[in-house]
Formats: sequence, C-alpha cells, structure tokens
Amino acid sequence: MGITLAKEDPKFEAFLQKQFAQLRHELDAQIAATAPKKEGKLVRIKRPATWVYGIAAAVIVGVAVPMVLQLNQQKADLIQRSESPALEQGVAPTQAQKNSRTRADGIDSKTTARDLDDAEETNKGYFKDRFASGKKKAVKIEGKDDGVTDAFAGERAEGNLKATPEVEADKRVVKEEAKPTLRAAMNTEGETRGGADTRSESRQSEAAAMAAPAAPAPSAAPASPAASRSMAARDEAPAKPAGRSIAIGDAQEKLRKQNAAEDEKVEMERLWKEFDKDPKSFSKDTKRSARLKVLLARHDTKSKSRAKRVAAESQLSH
Amino acid sequence: MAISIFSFLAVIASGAGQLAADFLARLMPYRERLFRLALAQLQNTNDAEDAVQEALIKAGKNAQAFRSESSEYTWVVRILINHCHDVQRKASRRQKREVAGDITDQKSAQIADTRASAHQNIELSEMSQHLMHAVNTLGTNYKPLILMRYFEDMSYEDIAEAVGINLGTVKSRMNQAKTLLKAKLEERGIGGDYFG
Repeated sequence: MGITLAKEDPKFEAFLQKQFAQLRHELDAQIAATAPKKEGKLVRIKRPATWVYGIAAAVIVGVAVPMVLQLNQQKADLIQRSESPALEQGVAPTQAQKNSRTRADGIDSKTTARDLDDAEETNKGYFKDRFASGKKKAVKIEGKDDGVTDAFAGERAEGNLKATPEVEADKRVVKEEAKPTLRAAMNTEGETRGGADTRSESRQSEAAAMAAPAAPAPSAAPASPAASRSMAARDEAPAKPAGRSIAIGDAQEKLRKQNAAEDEKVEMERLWKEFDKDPKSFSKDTKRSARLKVLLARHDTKSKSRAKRVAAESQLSH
Repeated sequence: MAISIFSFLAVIASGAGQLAADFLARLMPYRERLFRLALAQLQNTNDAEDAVQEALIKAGKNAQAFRSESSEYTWVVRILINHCHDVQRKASRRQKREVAGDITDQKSAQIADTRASAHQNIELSEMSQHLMHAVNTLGTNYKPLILMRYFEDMSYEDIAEAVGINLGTVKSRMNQAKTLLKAKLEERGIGGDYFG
C-alpha cells in the first residue's frame, strides 16, 4: 500500500471532529423530523363517531336500565316471599306487605313490612294488657304497703312460701283478676242486672273466695239464691274498660277488694278451724255458723263462676 | 423506536433465552445512538432500522460470548459497524453486477422493490456526504476506528476493548486510517481550504 504515517495533524484532527459533529447534528435533525411522524402513526387512536355514542346511550337507557330495574324487582319479590310463609301458603297479604311490594327496592320494603307488623302487634298488646298491668301493679302495691293484711306477702318476699295448694290457688285468683277486661266487656249485660247491694255483696264473696280458695266446699252448705245471683252477675260483669286516666282509680278499687277479700279469708279460716275443732259447740253458735255458711257459699259460687269463665275463655282462645 | 422492540422480540423468539433478553434490555437506552450510527453509514432510514435490528439480534444471540471487559454498547457498536459495512459491500456488488448486465430485468425489479424505501434517503450537507462517502470506502480495519473515535467520541482504550486489539495497534491503525481518509477527501477536492 505504501501508506506513509502522517504526524499528528491538528488541523485535520479539528476538521474531522468538526465535521463529524456537524454530521451528528444533521442526523439528529433528520431523526427528529422523521420520528414524530412514525410515532404519530403508531399511537394514533381512531375516535368513534359521535353517533356511536348516541346509539350506545339509547341502548343503555332503553334496554339496560329497565332490565336492571326488573331484576331488582324480581329479587325483592323473591326475598319477600322467602321470608313470609303466609304468602307462600296463599294467604292474602296484609296491608303492610302490600305496601312493601309497591316499593322499588327490596331491602327497605322488608323492613317496612316488618315494622308495620310489629306496630300492629304492639297496639294489640297494649290494649289487651293495659288493665292487666294496672291490676298487677295494684297487687304489687298491696304487697308493699299492706304487710299486715296480706299474710302471704311477707312470706313471698322472704321466699318461704312453698307451692302449697292454697298458694297456688291464690296465684290463680290473682291471675284471673289480671285477665284483660276486654273479655269482660263482652258480658256487659250482666252489669245491668246487678244492683248496688248485690254488687257490694258480690265484692265480699269475691274477697272471700280469694281469701279461702282451697277451703273444702261443704256439700250441705246452704246457698242463698239472691246472693248467688248477685255474685254471678258480679262475676259476669267484673269491670268496665276504662281509659288510661282512670287506671289509678281502678287500682285503688282493686286494692280495696283485695283487702276485703283478705279479711274475709282470715275470718273464714278462723271459723273453719273452730268448726274443725269442735263442730257441735260451733253449730250451737248460730251466728258464727251462719257466717261460715255464708262465706262458704260465696266461695262455692265464686269457684263455679270462675270455672264457667275459664271454659268460655278456652272456647274463645280456640 | 420500533427497531429495538422488534429486535427484542426476534431475539426472544429465536430462543436466545433470558440472558439475551437481559442483554437487549440493557441496550435499550442506546437504541437512538445506534440508529444514528447506522444512518450515518447507510443514509437510509429503513436500511438503518434493519441494520440496527440485525445487529441487536446478533448481539443477543452471542450475548454469552460477550467479554465483560468492554462495555456492552461498544461491543454492539462494533457489530453494527461491521454489519453496515457488509450491507454496503453487498449493495456495491449488486450495483457492479447491474452495471455489467449480469442481473435480469426480473431480478432488477425485485431489487427495486426491496429498495422501495429509497425515497427515505436522508439529506445531508455536501461536506457530510463527502466525508461519509470517504469513510465508507475505508477498509474494515480502519472504518470502525474512525467512526468510533470521531462519531462516537470513544477513547482509544474503549476502541481497543471493543475491537479486541491492543492500544498500540489501535493508535497505529488510527493514524493509517486518518492518512487514508485525508487522501480520499483530497481526491474529492476537499483539501487545503479546509485542513491544509
């Protein structure tokens, strides 16, 4: 080849560096000019025409939304039917259930139906137990205040009272007294039959019956027809349904009845013990024997009427 | 740039494995510089893209043979320069055969189709065109050295590592390359007015 190696040529070296720098600059400019064009082609996204959006919106509004609403409605109906067995058995729906069906959303309709049913039951229970609660209150007040007349109150409080037949009978009597007065209101004709005197007598007989419910009913005990009639009338029409404002007066009256019944009970027990000790001498005392007979007759009448009432209640409940 | 992505996928499809994929991933930041180097030699964007892709595929396939003493970029630069030199040599042979009439009209039409991107030839200044033409006429022992030294601003040490020769040889060949280049430029009428 015969290449003669040149010494360091600073001019040519500078020329080369300058020209190659110029070449790089030109190439960069060329690349910059062509690169965005290519990338623009690659990244370019075709936007759909506006009528496509219109069609999509029409489909959503016309098809999808009603479909979703219908599905929600069916879901709510299924949930409601699965939770209410009355609807499954074909029983006519209550007003609350009807209202809940008109609701669009299932969850709220469920709660609404449940709330309405609860409200109905609460109202029924309130009118049913209003007088009963008043009477129970009266019994409690008696147990608190009148420790002397109520012989069993202290024992109840101390827990010494066993489930003797007398105690059980007492409990039954108290429960019977606490029965709702709505049923008694059905026998309002009995209230018109009873007079003032018979009413007072019937109160006494009722108290006696409460005082000695477990006393043996003598088969030979004479019962006066007037007394028994008045007692029956009294039993058939116990109390008038009253408003909430007279509940305290009713309780006070009941308290008086309880006190009288307790007195008569003590008296009947005392007379019966005396009769049991010495029947001959007791029968000689006509006043005491007549009193015992009266008390026993009241007790007998009371127990019979109570049996009738229980039978009627059982029929009503069935 | 799509070049490196295609080459990346091509290397993975060729079954070069995870090593090649990692190797190419490390070369991604240099893809524009590689493209510029190829474009300077080939002066056609499509050819430059193809050359870069081929060079990256070669580098990926031979990633296991890469010597860690040189940087990955310099190693790929050498591969790319040699590949561009091969492309130019093939193109010059084809031109010679066309001139000699060895290629039929049908073959000529196919060649014309493959060169359909001729309109994507870049426009360089007259001085740059003369310079690159003179560089491209250098032999394989000199052209990479000139391009690495003056186009890529690589040091002699890096050139020695990339080419795989010692430093003294690099300096010696560099002097020979500059002398040849100066003579070729003077043949083209570029001489004393510029560096004389």
